[in-house]
Amino acid sequence: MSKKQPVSRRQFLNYTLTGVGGFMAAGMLMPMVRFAVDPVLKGEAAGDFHPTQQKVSELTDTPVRVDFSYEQTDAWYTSEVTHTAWVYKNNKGDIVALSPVCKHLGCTVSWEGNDHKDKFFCPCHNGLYEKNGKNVPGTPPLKPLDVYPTAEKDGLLQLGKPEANNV
Amino acid sequence: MNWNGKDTALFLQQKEYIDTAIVPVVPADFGPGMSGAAEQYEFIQLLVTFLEKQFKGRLLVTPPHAYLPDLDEWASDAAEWTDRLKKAGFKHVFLFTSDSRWREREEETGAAVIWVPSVPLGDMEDSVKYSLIENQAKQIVNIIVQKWQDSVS
Repeated sequence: MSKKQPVSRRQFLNYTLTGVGGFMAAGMLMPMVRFAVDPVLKGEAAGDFHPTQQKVSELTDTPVRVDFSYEQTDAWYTSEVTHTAWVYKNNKGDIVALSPVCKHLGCTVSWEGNDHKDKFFCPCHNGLYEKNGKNVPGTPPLKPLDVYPTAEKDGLLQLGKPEANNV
Repeated sequence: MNWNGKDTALFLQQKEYIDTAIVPVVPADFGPGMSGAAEQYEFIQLLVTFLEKQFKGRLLVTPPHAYLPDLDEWASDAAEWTDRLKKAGFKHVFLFTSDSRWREREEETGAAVIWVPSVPLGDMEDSVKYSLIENQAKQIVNIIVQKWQDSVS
């Protein structure tokens, strides 16, 4: 009877103990590995772009106002903030998204405001900017409008953090 | 400019550009009218925040002027506020309130009273709230720009 048995008692115990021990080791090591690589995974998932409702295919060469909001934490106070961008396609077909915050003292500029053709106009101190965001000399602003990095996801526009414009 | 350390420091440097003060005027009612008064405060604050965003570089939002609405001399401080703001260099002073009694007192305050009937925002969704405030504020934007243009010509 015992000769027919292919697995001896000793072998059986060896196999089961190795198996159970293996599971226990894996159970301890897997969370550790996950914690170790977590910063890498998180960096990929968060990203710096905020989604908007603007369809990229609907953009033309006329700037349109795009509002987008996301949650912002200010000390212990979390709130939903809304930001605006003026978005159009330039003659090379690239998407340009300009921040509406005037570089003079921070008012909100509007496209062709107060009948200024092909310009961004700031109502506070009559500042003017060209369509590409460049400030018009002789008006109060001293720097061009900031520009948003843009991305596209599922046909919708995404905007990053505004940065200085070199035009 | 908001009423905080950073913005007011900038204001002191750029005084010649910032010629408009906005004063939220709110009743402090601790009796049965409390929630009505609080609603007015909430509404006025949101409205003023929106306007500050539009015209950050030309106006300063002052701390709210709170008054006790059941006192006989409830409106008496306002003229003093206007006076001091004008002495500090503000050409235009706007008092924002939801209390309609201020309309009759506009002359004695020496400022422009902008009366906006308050809407209970209570449980409204954020997006609805935002578009409601934006619509109200657009009309006020015109009033302010008009005032600025009148003073130039």
